[in-house]
Amino acid sequence: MKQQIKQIWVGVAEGTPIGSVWLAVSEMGLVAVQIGGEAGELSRGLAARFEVDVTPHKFQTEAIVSQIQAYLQGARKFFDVVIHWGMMSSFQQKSLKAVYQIPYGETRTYGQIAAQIGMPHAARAVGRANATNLIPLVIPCHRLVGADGSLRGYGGGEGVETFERKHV
Amino acid sequence: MTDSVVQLAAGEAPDAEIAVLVARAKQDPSEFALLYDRYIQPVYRYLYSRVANAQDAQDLAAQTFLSTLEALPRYRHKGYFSAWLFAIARSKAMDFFRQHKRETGLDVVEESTDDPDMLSQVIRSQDMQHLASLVQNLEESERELIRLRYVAGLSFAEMAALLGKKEGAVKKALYRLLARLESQMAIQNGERSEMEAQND
Repeated sequence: MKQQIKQIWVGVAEGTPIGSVWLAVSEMGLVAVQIGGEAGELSRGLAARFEVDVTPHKFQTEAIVSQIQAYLQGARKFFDVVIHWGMMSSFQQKSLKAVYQIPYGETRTYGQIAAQIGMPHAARAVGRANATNLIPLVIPCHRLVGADGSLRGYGGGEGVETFERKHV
Repeated sequence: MTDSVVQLAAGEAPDAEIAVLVARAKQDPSEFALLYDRYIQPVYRYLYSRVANAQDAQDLAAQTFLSTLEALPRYRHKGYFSAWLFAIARSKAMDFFRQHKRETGLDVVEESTDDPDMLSQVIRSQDMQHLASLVQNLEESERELIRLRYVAGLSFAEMAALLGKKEGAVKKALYRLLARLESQMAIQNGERSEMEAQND
């Protein structure tokens, strides 16, 4: 059963190499991350979704803000944060906890994650869970690829051509 | 539609300049901001033209740049950085469609206009509707040529690197396609004028 959220605080990591990164935490951990977009966009979305007060709070968010800044500047390769898993369905928790473990610079297919959580035929469901991930970047949905392992071919130069030939 | 009016947002910088930016970003990831600033708009426009939704395009653009940033240490600058970047953007779009099972024709980010001439705006809008319906009926590979050239603003050399084809072949394919669209537009406009004349 999903846990009820009572209060959400938002903060922002500014001036990262990919622009501003907005984040939101509840009393039980990280709830959402939004890369780019406008100030207030994340707050409005979360207030409507969870029907709670969403307020800016530097102190409640500064630890995660500094980790995101360090990560995007190349100073750290993983996150050490508490995630509010309880807001997710049981299947989404299982899927995204496995995605959370994919190391920096590596990729996994949906099928590999499905197998890892003991449901080898649930690759599509893993894809759907990933597509509704509210915590991109920290839960690295960008490291999941299609069945053909598309991103692995990337090496630049001739790698692009190889990638196209194999996967497009 | 003439090629001379294309704004080469992504392809305008000399490749040597991009190579320097890439080398700097590989050395120090915080320098990746320079590549991000240069390419975020063409990547966003390209993704928007595929998914036709601002939020989805923004999310996919973010994923594209995150994957690019993490894969950068393994990138070897032998071809065009933009070709590599757009290959990643394309794979993100394809993954998106695997999940959502839909693809749009060619939606373009709307830009405001200060043109005070309402009549020319209406005519242009009708022309754009005709053009959009013609583009909608193209093969996916043909639509992709138009997206990469006119939405993403890639040069022919960058498109060739991305598609794994010769530059001349890409150019020829696009010009043939444009000529076909132009003649279809002319036929539609002729039919429209005839109908208007009959109604007068």
